[in-house]
Amino acid sequence: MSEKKLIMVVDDDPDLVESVSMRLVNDGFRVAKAYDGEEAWERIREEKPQMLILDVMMPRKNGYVLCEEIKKNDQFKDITVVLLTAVADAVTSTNYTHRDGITTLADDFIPKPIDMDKLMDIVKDNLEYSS
Amino acid sequence: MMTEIQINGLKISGALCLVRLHHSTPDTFRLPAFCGIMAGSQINLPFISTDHHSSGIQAACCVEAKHQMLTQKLVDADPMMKGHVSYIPDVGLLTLFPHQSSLKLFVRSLRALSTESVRVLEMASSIGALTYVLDYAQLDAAAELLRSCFKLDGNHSPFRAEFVVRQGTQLKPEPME
Repeated sequence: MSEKKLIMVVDDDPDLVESVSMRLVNDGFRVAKAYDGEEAWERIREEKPQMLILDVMMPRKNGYVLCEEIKKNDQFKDITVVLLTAVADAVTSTNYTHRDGITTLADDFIPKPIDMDKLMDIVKDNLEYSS
Repeated sequence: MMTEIQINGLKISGALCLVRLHHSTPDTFRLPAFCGIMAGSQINLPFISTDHHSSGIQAACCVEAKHQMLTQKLVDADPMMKGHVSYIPDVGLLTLFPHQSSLKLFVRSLRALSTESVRVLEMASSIGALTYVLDYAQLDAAAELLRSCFKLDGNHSPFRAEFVVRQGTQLKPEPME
């Protein structure tokens, strides 16, 4: 039997981290959690997850920057990154936009609020291709 | 000796106003209408809770301090709301996470706050966090107090968020060909 894949959920909203984690565990994955970009980077080095579900707007280091650092790092560039884009059409007055995300090296995107079934499809599709 | 309880972080909000929607029956429950009014003016609600008493259902929400006047105007303009809402200015949220329904976390934090006479105006437990509504002037001291009660990761998240998301109206860009 193959080992369960490790997915790290990174978001500064504890409720989102918890709800996504519960669904991932329920679907047979192992989960690591982090609550900002700096903490995530430290835990990525320690645990090297197969996938990162990564929020964009976070304190200390935002998701775009963290994604770029991961994808430009030879040791970690194979980690699949799925960005959570909270920058919905009705949200303004922030430094983050969908257009910033177009140039990132993320493997996939999902908008907030999250459709859990769609997220699980994205997770499974991407892990299938990466395995 | 007390067992150590590890938490991943504490968060402190900016200055908020607590809005209480007074007791109502299920038929006159005002929270959905209130949320609709707030959404119509792009006012965020960083905290919502409801509680049930024998006298009815009460709801509590928070809006940013700078939205207090606008909220009052909007509420007063609505006949269903007017006279059934009260406001407590200068409050803030102190959030501990993860909570995961831990009674130990709840008991230890509430005991610490009450021992130091920190006034808890509201509290709510969600799937991932335990949130207290406190006087804004006591937030920093309360955070330090709770920090001393729990074991925090060395690389824990900062206590205060660096940004605030605002709602507004923005046209969706045309899809690129």
